[in-house]
Amino acid sequence: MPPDQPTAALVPTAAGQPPLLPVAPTPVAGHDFTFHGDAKEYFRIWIVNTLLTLLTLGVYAAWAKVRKRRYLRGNTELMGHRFDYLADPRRILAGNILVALMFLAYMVVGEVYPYIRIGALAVGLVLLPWVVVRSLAFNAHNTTYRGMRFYAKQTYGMAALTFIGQWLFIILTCGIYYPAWVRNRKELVINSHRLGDAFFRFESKSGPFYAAYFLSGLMVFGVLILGGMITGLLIAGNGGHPPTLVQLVPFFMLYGTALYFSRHYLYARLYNHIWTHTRLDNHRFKASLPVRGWLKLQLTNLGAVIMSCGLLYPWAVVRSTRYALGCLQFLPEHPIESISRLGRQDGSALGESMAEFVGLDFGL
Amino acid sequence: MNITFTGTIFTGETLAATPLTLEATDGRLVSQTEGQSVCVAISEVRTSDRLAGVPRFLYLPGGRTIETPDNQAIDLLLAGQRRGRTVAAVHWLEARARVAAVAAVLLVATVAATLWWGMPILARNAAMAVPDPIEKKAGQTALATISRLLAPTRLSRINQRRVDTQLDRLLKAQPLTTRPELVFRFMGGQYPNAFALPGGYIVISDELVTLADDDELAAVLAHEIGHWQLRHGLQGVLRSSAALLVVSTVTGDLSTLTTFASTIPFALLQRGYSREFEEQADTYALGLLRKAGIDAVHFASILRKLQNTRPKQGQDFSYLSTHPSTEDRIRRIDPHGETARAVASFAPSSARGDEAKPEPSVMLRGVHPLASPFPLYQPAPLYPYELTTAHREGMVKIEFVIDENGKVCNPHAVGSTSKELEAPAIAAVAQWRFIPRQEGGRNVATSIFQTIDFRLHSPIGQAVEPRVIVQPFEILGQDLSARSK
Repeated sequence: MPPDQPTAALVPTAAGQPPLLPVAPTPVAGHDFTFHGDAKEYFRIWIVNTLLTLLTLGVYAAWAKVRKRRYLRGNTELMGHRFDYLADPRRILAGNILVALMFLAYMVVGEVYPYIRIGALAVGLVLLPWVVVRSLAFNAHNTTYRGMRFYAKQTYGMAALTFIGQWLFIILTCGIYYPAWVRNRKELVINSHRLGDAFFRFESKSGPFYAAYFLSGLMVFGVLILGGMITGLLIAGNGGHPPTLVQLVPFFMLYGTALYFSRHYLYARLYNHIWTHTRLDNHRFKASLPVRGWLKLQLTNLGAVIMSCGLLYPWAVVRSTRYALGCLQFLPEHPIESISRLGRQDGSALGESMAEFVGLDFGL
Repeated sequence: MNITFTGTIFTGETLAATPLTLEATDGRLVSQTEGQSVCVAISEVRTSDRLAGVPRFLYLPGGRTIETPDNQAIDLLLAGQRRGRTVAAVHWLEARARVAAVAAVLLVATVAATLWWGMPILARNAAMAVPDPIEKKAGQTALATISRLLAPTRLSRINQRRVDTQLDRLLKAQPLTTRPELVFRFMGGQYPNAFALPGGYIVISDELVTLADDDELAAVLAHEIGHWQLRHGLQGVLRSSAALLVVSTVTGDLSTLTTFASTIPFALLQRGYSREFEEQADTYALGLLRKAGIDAVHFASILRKLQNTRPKQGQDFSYLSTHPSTEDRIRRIDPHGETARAVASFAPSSARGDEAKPEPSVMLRGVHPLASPFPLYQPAPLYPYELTTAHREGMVKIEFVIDENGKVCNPHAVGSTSKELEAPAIAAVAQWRFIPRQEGGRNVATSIFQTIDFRLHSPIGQAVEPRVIVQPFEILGQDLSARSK
């Protein structure tokens, strides 16, 4: 993904009043997102940073992460200017250390008092929405465009409602609620973002999510049936004995490929839908990622990454990013120069708060 | 030194972008564009790090930002300030294809080394972490396989009791939390063999009990207890499957192990334990024997006995073949003993990590070239016990390659009347030894097709007697692929 998934939050309006939408969208000139990254260049950065991470036993991981992310954002251009990523690697390191210490404590204490593990998991569940909110804020705050930071603000309560409350509802409905949950999650994330005084806002019903999940589910289901038939044939061929693991390998491969395809099918469909229904104030986005082309691209990516034992992963990243960004447009309703700073803190590129001393950063 | 470059300035107040030209003089950064007043000390300007060709950002005090594609100018600026040297070094590394190539090689090597040395350590820790009940269950699964393969013992109670006594003797010297369980099996009269399964099941063939005296039995038991206590069986299973290892290490769920345990006996019969495991078990046995006051000489003597019982060409018996170079082991166990005993021309070669051994060609050079491989040692496969009781006969067709050293490579079944016969047949064929075929004074590899019949002979009024008939082999041709092996 390009910079943070922009989405719009509601412009503060009078209570109860629905957000204003343009009555008749007038055709506006679209501005393309352009990706300038080069696969060879990114490969060199990736391999050097990965090796340094390995040689420093993971300490360098924070710096490597920042460099890789800066490469991707710094090569993303919109209307003549690049995005920037400002995260301080030392904070990410602090976040990594915190997580490592917690995990270690969990393992050590769990060895001695196994019951504490259950309690720790419960605490983790309670902490999860907070981690999500902090990650969003950290990521957004460290992304800038034209010298202005993005901003993400969300309450713990709302995040808890989505990530815990609605999850329980998914379980209650045997998963039927899942696509709606994905939509709500996207809405939560997108609506919490703003750039200056321009708020991101996501406007969509759950229907398209259900459609996308239904079709990709159908793909997996079809392959499952096929796999079941193959297994049945194997059992028959074995004279009633269950097939050995080795015999099941083709089935696993088939199943893995189907999952991979359905995932990217979902990605392409939702990418188009989400961006097209996202606004930044009254500015709009338009995404037209061709599903077929995207699947073809991802298939070659998969093949190349597997054949190269993972060494071509950076090449795949650059290709995917360029392709996806090339299909994204920004449609400003009026000159965006008018977007201005909101509040005192977020304008300064150096604005830092203690709350962010620990850079929790987990992609969503 | 004056540096001039162009860029765009953002106020941080709005998204408005204004192009400007900047000049760095006397440690200050000054705007050359009218209407844009910039005048700051360079030392107060923070810059983004150099990263390939990504445009640079200058963060001015007060919240303004300048974006410029002129990386060179910024690098010069920073060099004048003696700043950003670490990052410059990283950039230097990232900018070079040769560095990337070296890094790729190093990365692959590091990952490979981690797998190579890390896997066994991981397997050891995982195996040691397996709770006893699960280990027992894995052992029972393996034992079930044994009972399907091997016939019940024909030993007298007195003979079985002899082994029991030796076990008691060892346990008195070193008590264990659970007493190992002795399992006696008849292995067709050809295989003096013993192996330890997880859960403390020690399988001993009748042939071995008959062959060994009391002290020697104790030595064998001590060795097998070592295999069990060090959990070599479980480690073997975990080592053979990286996926299983990762899953059980990450999830801590080791119960999947039991489903894999049924393959342990096949692996033991075919390949035995690795040299490393054997040495560990030997060391364990020596310690245990010392505690029990049994001289290591007896350990060496049973190994020698096993070596001497094989046919005169000196081939491996399965018990020995599972064990790396017997001579090396005897030397380790009993350094002052009579070790230089001439081993037959075919030094016993271990299943793995074979070193160059005297080849038959050395022995036969100057005689006449062999047009076809000559079998030296062809122990017949075991007739799976469960099939003899079910009165099922059958046949297995096997293809394999006899390599230049006379050893069997890649035996695999190409057809059989029942799958259950394939594993024992392959296990036996893998141990065969030949004098290789010769061509132009050189040993050459040969592809072989072999039929093995499993027949049941039932004389009237007597018990069914299983017979395994190894038919004469057929030569399929010279095998070049074996040479690369």
